Amino acid sequence: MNMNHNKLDDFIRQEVEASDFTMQEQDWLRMSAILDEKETKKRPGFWRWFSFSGIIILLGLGTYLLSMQKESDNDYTQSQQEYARNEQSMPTKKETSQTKESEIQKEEHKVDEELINQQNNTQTQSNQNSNQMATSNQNDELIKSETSVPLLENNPAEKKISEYLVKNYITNIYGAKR
Amino acid sequence: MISNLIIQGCLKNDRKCQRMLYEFCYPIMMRVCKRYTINEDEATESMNSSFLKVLEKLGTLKDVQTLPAWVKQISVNTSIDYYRAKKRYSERNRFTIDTEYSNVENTHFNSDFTESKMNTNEIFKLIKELPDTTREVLNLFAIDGFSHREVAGMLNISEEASRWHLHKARKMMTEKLESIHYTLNVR
Repeated sequence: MNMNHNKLDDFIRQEVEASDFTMQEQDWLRMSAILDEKETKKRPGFWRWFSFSGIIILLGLGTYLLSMQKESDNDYTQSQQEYARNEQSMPTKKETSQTKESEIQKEEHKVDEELINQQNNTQTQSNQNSNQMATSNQNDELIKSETSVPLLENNPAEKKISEYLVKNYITNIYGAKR
Repeated sequence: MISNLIIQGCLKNDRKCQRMLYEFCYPIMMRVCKRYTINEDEATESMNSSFLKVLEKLGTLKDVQTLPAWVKQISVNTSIDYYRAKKRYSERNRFTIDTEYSNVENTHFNSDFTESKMNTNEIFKLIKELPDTTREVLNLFAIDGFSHREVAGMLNISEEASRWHLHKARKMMTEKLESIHYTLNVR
C-alpha cells in the first residue's frame, strides 16, 4: 500500500513539475499596477513621517520654551524678594530726601563760594587793569605835560569813573555767568 | 538564470528588472499557486502577493543560485496564508473530521501510476476538485515534502486530521484518475 502511495505521490509531483507556464502580459500589467499603487502609497507615508517628526520638534521646542519661561519667572521672584530685603535694610524715603536736599544745599553753597571767588578774582584783575590804565594815563600825561598843559595827579573824578566802569564790567560778567 | 544586476535593479525599484524577475519567477510561483487555489483569479492573486513578498525580501537573499527554491518557499507560505484567510470567511470547509475519518480508514489503493498519458496542467484540474483542506494537505505533504506535524501546524489542524486528509486525497485522486482512464497499470 505504501508503495502505491509513494507512486501516486511521485506521479502527482512529476506531473506538477512537468507543467509549464509562460508569463502572460495581462498578469504583468496587473502586477505593475499593484507596484505603482504601492509606490504612490509610499509617498504619503514619507509625508506622514515628515509631519510627525515636525510635530515632535514643535512639541520639544514648546516644552523647552515653557521651561525657560518658568526659570525666568523664578529668577524674577527671587530678584523681587532680594529687592524687598534690600528695601527693608535701606533708609526711608524721607531720610533719603533730606540727605538729597542737604547735598543740594551744599552744592549750592559751593557754587556761591566759587562765584564769590570769581568775583574777587575779577575785581583784582580789574584793579590791575585800572592800575595799568593809570600807568598808561600817567605816561600819556607825561607826554602831554611835556607837550601841553599838565594834568592833575590822582584825579578823584577819574577814579570814580574808573570804579564805575569796573563795577559795570563785573556786573556784566557776573550776570552773564548767572 | 537571474543575474545579480537584475536583483540590484529590483532593489532600486527598476521596473524593467522587476519585469525580468517576474518572468523568471512566474512558472515557479504559478506551479505552486495553482495547486493551492481553486481558480485562475485566486491563483493570480496569490501569485502577485507572493511576488510582492519576493520583492520585499529580496535584500535578504544571500545566494542567487537558491532563488528558485527561495521563491517556491515564499509562494507556498503565501498560499497557505491565503488559504487561512479564505478559511476564516468560508463555511465550505466546516465538516466533522472524526466521523469521516472512520469511514475511509480501511481503503486500499490498487493502482499503479508509473505510466501516464496525462496532458500538461491537467493534474491541476484534478487537484482543484479536491476539498480545500484535503487539497492543501496533499500539496504540502505529497508535493512540497512537509511532514504531518508541519502540515498540522500550518493549517491549524491535528496530525491525525492531516493524515486523514491525505488518505482522503489519495483515494479521491485515484478514483479521479481511474475514472478518466489515465491510470493504465492496474494490478
